[in-house]
Amino acid sequence: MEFGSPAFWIAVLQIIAIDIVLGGDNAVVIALASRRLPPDLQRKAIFWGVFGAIALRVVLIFFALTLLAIPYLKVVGGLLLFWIGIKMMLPHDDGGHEIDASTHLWGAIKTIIVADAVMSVDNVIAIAAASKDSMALVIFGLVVSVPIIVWGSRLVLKLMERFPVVITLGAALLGWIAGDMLVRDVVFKDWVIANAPLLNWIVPAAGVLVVVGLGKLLASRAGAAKAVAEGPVDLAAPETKRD
Amino acid sequence: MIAVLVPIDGSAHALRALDEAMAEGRRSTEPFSLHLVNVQQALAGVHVKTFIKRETLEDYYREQGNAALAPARERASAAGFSVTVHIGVGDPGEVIAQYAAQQHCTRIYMGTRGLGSVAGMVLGSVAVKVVHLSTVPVLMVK
Repeated sequence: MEFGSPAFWIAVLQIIAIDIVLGGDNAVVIALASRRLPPDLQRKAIFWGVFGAIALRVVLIFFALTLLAIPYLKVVGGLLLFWIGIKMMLPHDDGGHEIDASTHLWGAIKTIIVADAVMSVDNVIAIAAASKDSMALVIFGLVVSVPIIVWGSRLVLKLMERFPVVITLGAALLGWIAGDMLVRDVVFKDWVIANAPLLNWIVPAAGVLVVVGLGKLLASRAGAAKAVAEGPVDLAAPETKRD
Repeated sequence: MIAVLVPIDGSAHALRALDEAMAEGRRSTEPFSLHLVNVQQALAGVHVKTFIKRETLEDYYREQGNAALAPARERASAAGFSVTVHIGVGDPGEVIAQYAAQQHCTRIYMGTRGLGSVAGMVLGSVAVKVVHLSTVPVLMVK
């Protein structure tokens, strides 16, 4: 990709958007996971958790382009991004599958390590895919993600709250990139270019429709179920509700 | 029946609004009820949804909300008022307006930093949004 070309700038914008939607909440996850630790341990857990989120990205970025050249790994990466994109549009469920805040140091460390791994993998895969094999852009994506992870959390989550369309746009972008990865896997790439170059546009567009469509459908179902079950949420502590 | 709502964000402006609301309460000859509401920012990132249980998140909102409400609650009870408290999650302007309508509040006492309209626009004044969305009268307290 030529520096300064329209395709280059589109990739730059995509990478920044990816870092915002996939990096913006990492520090919050780490802080919430270490919430029940004593304060001094909590501070340490947050520091090392954020450090780990960045260090893992550095390591993964290094291998990302090489790994994604292995047959079918782009398909796997694309499917992961589909899942993250759909998940992004869903409300917070109460499913019991999550690992979570723990009062024990090891429990919190385990949560943070697993979360760091997943958060770094999805971010790096999406950056690598948007970079279209340009190492310079991959490194740019890494550099942009660091301040967003360390300082951006509150701002990014505020942005999503004030402008919920940001979430839909982020999910749509992930759907596009995921679709793009499917057609660019080394196994299909040459065939697609030779026989059906239009698929390079159709599959990513279908990816957007799948993520946004499925996300909206599942979200409205979950929302309807919740409204029947609970009504409006009041988090005020019951014992002090009226005195 | 007079029911007033005072949004509390932990700032001094909110406490001044509370003082004004309580002054109305003292003047009032009708039954008077005082609602305090705090609104927490939703942490709705995709990884938060994946890795953190909803209960943990709600505990966190509750803890932060109660901490923000504590000084106002103390002030009100010191002045002899009983209060109803509410902790909501989401966009503050929307939650405040919605709660006021739901609870049939007769007025909202809204503390504001009193920035000009330009600064308010840039900083996204909650007060302006409440005025815009509320179906009940809003009294601004600077």
